[in-house]
Amino acid sequence: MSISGNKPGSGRAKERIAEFFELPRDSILDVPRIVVIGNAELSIENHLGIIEYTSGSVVIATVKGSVTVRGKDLAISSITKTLVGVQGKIEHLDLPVEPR
Amino acid sequence: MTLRSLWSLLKGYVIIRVTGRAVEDFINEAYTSGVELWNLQRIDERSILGHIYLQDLPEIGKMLKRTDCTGRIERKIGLPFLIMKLSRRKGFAIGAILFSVILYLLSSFVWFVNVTGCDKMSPDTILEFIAKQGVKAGVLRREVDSTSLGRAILAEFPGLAWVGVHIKGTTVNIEVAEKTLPQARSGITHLVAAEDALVTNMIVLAGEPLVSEGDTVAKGQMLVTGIIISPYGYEDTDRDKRHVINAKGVVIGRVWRTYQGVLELVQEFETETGRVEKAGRLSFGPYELRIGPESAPFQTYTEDQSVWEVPFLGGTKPLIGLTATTYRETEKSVEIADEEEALEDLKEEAFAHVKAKIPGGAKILDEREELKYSEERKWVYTLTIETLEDIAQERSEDREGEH
Repeated sequence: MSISGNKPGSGRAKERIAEFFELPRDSILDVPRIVVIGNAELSIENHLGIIEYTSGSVVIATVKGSVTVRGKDLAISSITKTLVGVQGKIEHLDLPVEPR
Repeated sequence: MTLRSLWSLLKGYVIIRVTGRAVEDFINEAYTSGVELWNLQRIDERSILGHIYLQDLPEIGKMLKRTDCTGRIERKIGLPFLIMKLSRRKGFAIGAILFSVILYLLSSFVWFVNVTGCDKMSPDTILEFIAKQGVKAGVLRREVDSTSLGRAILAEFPGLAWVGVHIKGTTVNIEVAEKTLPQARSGITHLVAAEDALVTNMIVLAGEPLVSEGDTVAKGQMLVTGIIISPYGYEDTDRDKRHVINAKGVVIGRVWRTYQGVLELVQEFETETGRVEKAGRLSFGPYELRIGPESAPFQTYTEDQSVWEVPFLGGTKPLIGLTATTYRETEKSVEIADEEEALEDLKEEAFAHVKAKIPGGAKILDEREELKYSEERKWVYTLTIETLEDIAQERSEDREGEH
């Protein structure tokens, strides 16, 4: 599974526009929006697919890199083009580190 | 149950097990091509469980091939599968539908009519009336108009104060309330003596006293009459001038009640000896079969007979008769009672007998006991209880009855 290329130039321009107009970044950019409810539920908007799924960890691809959810009894409650929902006992959440 | 899960039940969904080296590929393939997947669960290293809609099943087949996974349907849930199942079991489906239809049809009829609240009136007269009005078991429920039926009943029976008609399921409940009319005392009331007595005190509130204090009166004798012949102070036998009222008053009199008993020292009674003989008789038309003795085998005995008969159509003689008779031998024995004890028993009986007759509110003045040796050479015990009580008893007479 390949993650679609992140062109640094265009990304930065969009980011600047978003900043200038005070727009929420997730609506302009393909930046993932990650919502965690307690430690039982997690949802990611703007995902690019699932890289790995076991009951102990779910790795989800996003524009910014892969988001790793680790825990116990993890289940994917729903998956559509825009949204992934993860349920279970969430213990760790690793966000992608910016290259720079 | 959420709206979403209800919707998925209507559409029908399956729980599918997907096995492969890279089930993640399958998941990604699914969502990108618009197939909705939910409740994904990891089973083991190689397989997951997931829910998908029935309509996406053909698409899933292609995807499995492309991603090199295998799929197996674990469970089928929802209405489409239920319909499929039912269409395979046609008899059951028809039965279920038929049941609902018959239940609905039967519940649209009236099956029971109840009348409650009748006190003096018979509920049957009301039932009869409403049957004529077309309300009885077997009519359609919607043809029963409770309001007009209630009005009709109320109009028909003047003795009713209120009628409530309620239709509850297949039952029509008719609740009635009867009018309680004050008892019109149209007649004449006299006061008569309840017992033989000696009048000691009279308080007449209404009416003309016929006896005075100190008089002896017999049971049933008129004490105070409700007919006043001379209300204006002169004799007038003309009926129209008669004054008619309800006599009222208290007449206190002395009443003596006695009880006499013979003191029986020698008592005769029968006891069973224990010897029992049984006889049976079976008859079929004119034929008869007997078992045991034909008549009683003892001199003194009691007889116990039980009969079972099947009546013959139209005839007086039963078709089949079965009679079982039990004869028990008895013997007479004589017991000489203890004098003291017998007297005590007699006294007890006498008191119970007399006291039962004394009305409530009576005052006991005297109790006399007597034991005499009579001419018949027997001891006779007499108990006399004297009481002071109200002996006035109302007796009404119809005004119309005297013409």
